[in-house]
Amino acid sequence: MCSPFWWRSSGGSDYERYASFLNSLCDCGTIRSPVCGHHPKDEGFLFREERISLFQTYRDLFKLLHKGIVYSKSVSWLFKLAPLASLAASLIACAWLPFGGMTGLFSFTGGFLLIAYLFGAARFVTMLASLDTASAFEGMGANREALFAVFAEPALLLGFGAVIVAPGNSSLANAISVAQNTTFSDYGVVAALAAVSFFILALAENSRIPVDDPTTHLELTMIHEAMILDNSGPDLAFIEFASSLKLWFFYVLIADIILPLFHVGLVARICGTFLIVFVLAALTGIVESSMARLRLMKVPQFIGSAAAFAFIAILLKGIL
Amino acid sequence: MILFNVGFLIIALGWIPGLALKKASSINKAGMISTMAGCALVLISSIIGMSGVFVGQLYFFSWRMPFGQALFSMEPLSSFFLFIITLISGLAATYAPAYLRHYGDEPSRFKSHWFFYQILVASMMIVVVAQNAIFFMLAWELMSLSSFFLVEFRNEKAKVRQAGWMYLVFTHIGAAFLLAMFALLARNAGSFDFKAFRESAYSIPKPLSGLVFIFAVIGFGMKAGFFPAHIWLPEAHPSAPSHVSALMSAVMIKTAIYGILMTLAFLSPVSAWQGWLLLGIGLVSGVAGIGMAITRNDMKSLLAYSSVENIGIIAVGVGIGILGQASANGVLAFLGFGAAFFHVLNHSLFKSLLFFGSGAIQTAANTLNINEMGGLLKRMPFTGAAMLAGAAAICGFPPFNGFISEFLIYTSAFSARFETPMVRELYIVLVLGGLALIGALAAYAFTKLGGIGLLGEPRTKAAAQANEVVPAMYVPMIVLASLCLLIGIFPSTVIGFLEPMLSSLNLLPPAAVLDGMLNSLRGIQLSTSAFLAFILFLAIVRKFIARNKYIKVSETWGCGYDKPDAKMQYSSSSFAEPFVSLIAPLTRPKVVGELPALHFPKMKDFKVDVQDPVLDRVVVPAYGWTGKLFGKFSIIQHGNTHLYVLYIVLALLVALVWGLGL
Repeated sequence: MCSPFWWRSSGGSDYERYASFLNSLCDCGTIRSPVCGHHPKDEGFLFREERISLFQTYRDLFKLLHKGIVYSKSVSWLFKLAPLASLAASLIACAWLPFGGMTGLFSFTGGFLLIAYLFGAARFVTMLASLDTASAFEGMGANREALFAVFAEPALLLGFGAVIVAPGNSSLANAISVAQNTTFSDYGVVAALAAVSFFILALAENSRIPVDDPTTHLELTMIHEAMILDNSGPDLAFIEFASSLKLWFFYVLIADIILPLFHVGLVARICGTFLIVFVLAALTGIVESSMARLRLMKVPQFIGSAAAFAFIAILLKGIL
Repeated sequence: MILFNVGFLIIALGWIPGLALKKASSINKAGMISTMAGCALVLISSIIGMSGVFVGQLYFFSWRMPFGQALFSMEPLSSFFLFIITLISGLAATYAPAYLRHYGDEPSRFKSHWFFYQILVASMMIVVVAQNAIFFMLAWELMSLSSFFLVEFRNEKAKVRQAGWMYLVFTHIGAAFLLAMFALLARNAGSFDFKAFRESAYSIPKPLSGLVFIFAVIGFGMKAGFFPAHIWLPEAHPSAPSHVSALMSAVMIKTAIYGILMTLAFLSPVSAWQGWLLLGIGLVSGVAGIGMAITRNDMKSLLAYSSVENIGIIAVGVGIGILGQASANGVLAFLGFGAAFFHVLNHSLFKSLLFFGSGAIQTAANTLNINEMGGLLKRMPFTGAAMLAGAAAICGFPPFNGFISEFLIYTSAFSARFETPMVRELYIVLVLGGLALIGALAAYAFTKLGGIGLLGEPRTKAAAQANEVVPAMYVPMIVLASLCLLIGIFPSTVIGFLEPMLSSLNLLPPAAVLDGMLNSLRGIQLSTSAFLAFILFLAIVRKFIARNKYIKVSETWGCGYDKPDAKMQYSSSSFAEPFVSLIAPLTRPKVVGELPALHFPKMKDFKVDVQDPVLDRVVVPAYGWTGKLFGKFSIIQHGNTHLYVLYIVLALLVALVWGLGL
């Protein structure tokens, strides 16, 4: 019973694995261990299906960590490296991310470039690992991921450009503290556009509907999940945890951009971050339960719109 | 300096002992030893030269040359390029004998190979140290010709001959522009010495300076492979032996970048439009180069197109540097030129690594077609691992070196200031968006090269029977891969190494800015080390939690189908297909044959052929027109000897009239 599909199908149709809720703070603002929780009611909220626990993601991870591992005959060491690199990249990204106005573990001019490229490196290794299994389905997943990344990477960099570079800041932490002292009219439009851009990216980069449907039962329609069909046990746990952290990363990033608009104190900002993350998770749930996946050839346009929003946000700086 | 002279002579004359030898293997060994010895000496002198001890000192060969003296000097900039030339030439020479063994044992072929190889290395050295335009052009032409003959190594094949001719035509169009450029400069300066060029830089009229710049971009761009003059690269590289491709792609085309940097010193007050021009050319070369690379199935052709992309990134750096100088923005100039130098170094490391790797695969699996590879990482562990490292480095992923030069270009967006406010926003969009697009396309291309070529199951019998190559071939690759990793983790050390050169070019920014820069690099150092540490930690965790569990090896998941076949894997062509159809309006791929259709399809043969639009729609028609135009002159070439004598008499008469000033 070790096929990677065994545990998935056991979850039933209302099975949900993503979305985040909790971020436990271990130290006063510097050392955090970002922990990913579970957003309660994606589909259940709208369609009154069976509710599942807030901590379902953790239960799954716990279960996976207690399983053995099955490797494909075809794979080499690279396949074993990929889950580690994905999780390490997500951990570094979350350590870098400012939270509720508190600076991340490290911050330097151009730090966002390192984070974007670390995510890129994790994606690269994951694509290689999926091709390593010699599976047609996983090759397909890698192929789609590579194509969509062509649109997502510029969008991500332009998004950071709109928030950090164009207003003349040196890092995200710096951008947040500067935005705290600017008026709503100066920063509001840029923040809104960048937030929309990042939200589209959050959906695309974390294999959510309308780009990807991780809970589908048809491998032919998958993107990200198709790439990890042959991962099992602790390896799969690492990958799942890495993608939960990545989703958390994007939500908190959006919160970081929006919150300075409200000029509030530290405690309020931390609470506000949780609130915004919760709202975004609910929004993702509403999107997921109200629409279907886009046709594959429409996806580049969808991700391209994120780049367009960021592009407009940058140009606005020149006009305002 | 004595080291340089001795080393240069060893290389320039190193082919002579080989002439006396009879066996192919000993000819190869003689060539390898003399190249390595010479390169080692010059490498040491270049490291000394980079610290700036030879600044302002001119040396000359005692040789009576027309229009001046054979002057040369070892400025820090020259030393930097010498360093790269000798490092890669030396490693390529180490690699060559074992690789060349697969090309038979006919001694004369190897004698001529080493002759041209060493002449190429020696002429590249002269190109970067020459201080006189005529001397420079002589070395430049020698470099072009010797590399042409190296490409023609397997000249019994028609395709190789054709590729060589294409290269020769392009390089000579470039040389014509360079000659015109030097003539213009010499008329202004009154001498062919570079010293005179530099001294008269401020007196050069604006329009002339612009013309010289354009000639330099065209002339050097032909060699560098700027879009749309890149077309000879994907023809010549796959035809040449792999170590020659490595040398040409990683080093020789960089001499053109040296040429552009050198010319900038002759045009001292640069203008902003020159920077924008190079920035634009760089971005277009980058996107077009790597976009075409995705469509290639021949591994070396893919790498050649990726060289176009990387030269594009270097041009972006130089363009940014010029913009910085034109707007008196020292930080921008430092970041732009610094990134260009850094990328010259980085690209020479990972591109030669990848070409060595493709040569190793060629000898082991007897193919360069990615569609016929697969499963090579398991069969060739060292070559495979080194190539994967090179692939990650060339895409710019941390913890490898490619990230550092791209990081410098990206951070230039922080310090760009222009008079019109909107221009700055445009600059940010171009640099951030353009470079990110290039990066993502590179990841696509190199996932294909690594994932389809090296991983998965072998697609042919030859690939299944491939074995690791000899240490003489994989050790240079491991050296290069380690350098890529070390530079990626400790970038601030390399900046320290480049500092004397940057300061000699007046490019060092104020100490505070440099400190900020080094701070960022230390941040990268810290976080990439943390990234590697996390990976190690997680590996230990996984080992620990799985210690009592079962670890099984089984078939790949096939959705219930349990007879997987290597043919079911994605192939190189199918991996590229979505992108090929995306850019189909631009490239208009030719489909030969038809797709299988209906419920019971029969065996069908079909092939999609993506032609480079520049080759297909510009170069080939242009060749045709030129041929037709000059074909008209064949009237005067009729074969009647007595009329030819008449031509000679007429020509003499005209010369006489002109000479006497009648």
